[in-house]
Amino acid sequence: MASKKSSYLFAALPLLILLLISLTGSFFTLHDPYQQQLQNALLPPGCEYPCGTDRYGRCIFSRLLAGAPVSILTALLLTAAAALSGTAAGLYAGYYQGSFFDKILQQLTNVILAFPGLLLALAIAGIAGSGMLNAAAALLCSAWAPYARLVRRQTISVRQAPYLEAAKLSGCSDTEILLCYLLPIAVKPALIMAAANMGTMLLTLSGLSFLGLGAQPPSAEWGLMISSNRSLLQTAPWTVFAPGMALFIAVCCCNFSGNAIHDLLEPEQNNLMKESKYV
Amino acid sequence: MKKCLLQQCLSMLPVLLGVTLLTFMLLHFSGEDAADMLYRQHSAVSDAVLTQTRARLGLDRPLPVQYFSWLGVLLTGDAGTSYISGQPVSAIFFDRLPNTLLLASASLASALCLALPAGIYCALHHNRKADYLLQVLSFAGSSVPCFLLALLLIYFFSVRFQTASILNHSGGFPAFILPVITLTIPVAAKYTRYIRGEVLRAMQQPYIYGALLRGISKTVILRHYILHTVSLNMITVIAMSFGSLLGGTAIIENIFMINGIGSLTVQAILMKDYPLLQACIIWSTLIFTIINTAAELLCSLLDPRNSFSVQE
Repeated sequence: MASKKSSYLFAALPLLILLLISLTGSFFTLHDPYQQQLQNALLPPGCEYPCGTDRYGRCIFSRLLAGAPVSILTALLLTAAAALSGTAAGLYAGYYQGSFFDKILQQLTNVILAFPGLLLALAIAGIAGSGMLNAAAALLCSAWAPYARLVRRQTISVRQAPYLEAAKLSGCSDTEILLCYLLPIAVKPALIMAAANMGTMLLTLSGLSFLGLGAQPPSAEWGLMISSNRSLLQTAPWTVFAPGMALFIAVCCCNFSGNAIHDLLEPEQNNLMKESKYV
Repeated sequence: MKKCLLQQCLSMLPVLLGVTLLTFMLLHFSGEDAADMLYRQHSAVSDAVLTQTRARLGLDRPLPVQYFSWLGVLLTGDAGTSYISGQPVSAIFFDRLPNTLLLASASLASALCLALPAGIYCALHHNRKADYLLQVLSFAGSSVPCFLLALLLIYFFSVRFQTASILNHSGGFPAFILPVITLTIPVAAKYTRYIRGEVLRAMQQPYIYGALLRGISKTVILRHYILHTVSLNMITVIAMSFGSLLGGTAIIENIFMINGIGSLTVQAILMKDYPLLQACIIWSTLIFTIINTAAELLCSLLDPRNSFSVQE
């Protein structure tokens, strides 16, 4: 059991570090991340400025730390919100299969999933107006649908199980059955999906900012930093590659944790692969 | 077979209807209607003129009536004209579509060319050094932000190696090399992991053991048994990626200044050209839905288990 606990910790470690950085990062800034000092503009990385400075003389390292909560925390919260709302809707619809709510939900998920890729989020974010909150809301509008579909399918597949009949006969109310008997089963696939989607969400969110539909200047959001320093690629590449690498590392951490959580929650598949006798 | 085809096509209808409804509602709630748009260039417009224009355009009617009249016009293929350029929006869309289609299909094809051998190799040599190396590479490839990748490529090719000719966006094939590479890497990384998993899973199946025991050679098993199963599953995945490339190339098109539908959509959003945005959304979704339905049909055609149930 102890080994299982430690392996869970190991899986979550990159994610926890990421969270820690985004929560406490603003205490470790070397300079004021928003203070413009034009005499220090475009300094290459050195002792004073570990990642150099941008065209306004702002310390990029400090800006990266200040922007971490904007990028990472929003993405993680957004994933959690999408998973939660999708699970709740899917659970309810699956349990009352065939009800009015179920039919509406099915149509709605079908419609939302019919939009290719980012398109729906892009359109909603564009119409709602730029801003991190609007971008996050737009992503949430399209991100909950896969969870709802997954959880609904899972709920329907166990709805007729004997243990649920038994629970019903022993006098459990619908709410109790939903929360105590169905939720724990339905949560697992949603959790795996959420773990796998954290990195993508981070990428999508900063992609929206990159396009100018998310965070607005002077915010230190990483995607925005890359896009606003794009024209400096030739003369001061660090202004682009420092936030780019930060984003890459953050996504790697998310994906690593996501993969590890997937492997931990679905050990059967892994064991099967280890036992393969083919080669 | 015909029945199956008909069923699939009919199942598309409510979804497409929902898509038009959602698009219509979305733009209705944008706060600015066509009358505001018409007079955007004029500094001050009296309310009387606005009301008159709204009445002329039919914007004072109840919402459901507006929706159905809009839908009726849309069904004739006329999606309106752009607020900015005054051209029909469908014409603008289809003018830009080939660039995005070329970009998406070229990157999908090259991703498949990379991922298929790599994934199979990984699965056949799993838990060995080469497998670990490819796994790490594909992990990194699927985690890298596409705009970082694009800017890195531009930096190395045009700044470091001085091969700026690769970036001339006058059109033609060379302009597509870097964007295709950028889009290929994440897709190839994702596919490598997927194909590795699928081949490994296929190798666990009892019928593979059966074939091995009957003395069929591993090459034949791989080619005829495993690859057949894997390629069936790949069809759906490819259709999905095609969709996400259709709707997700906006960033790449923006960086490399390619006139595709991704950059057109972003442009329509930033310029608040709502008829153009409507056309982009509806046409892209229609194309995506058709591709998905075609993929499903293809799957059920190629899967012998499904063809039985169709005959019955």
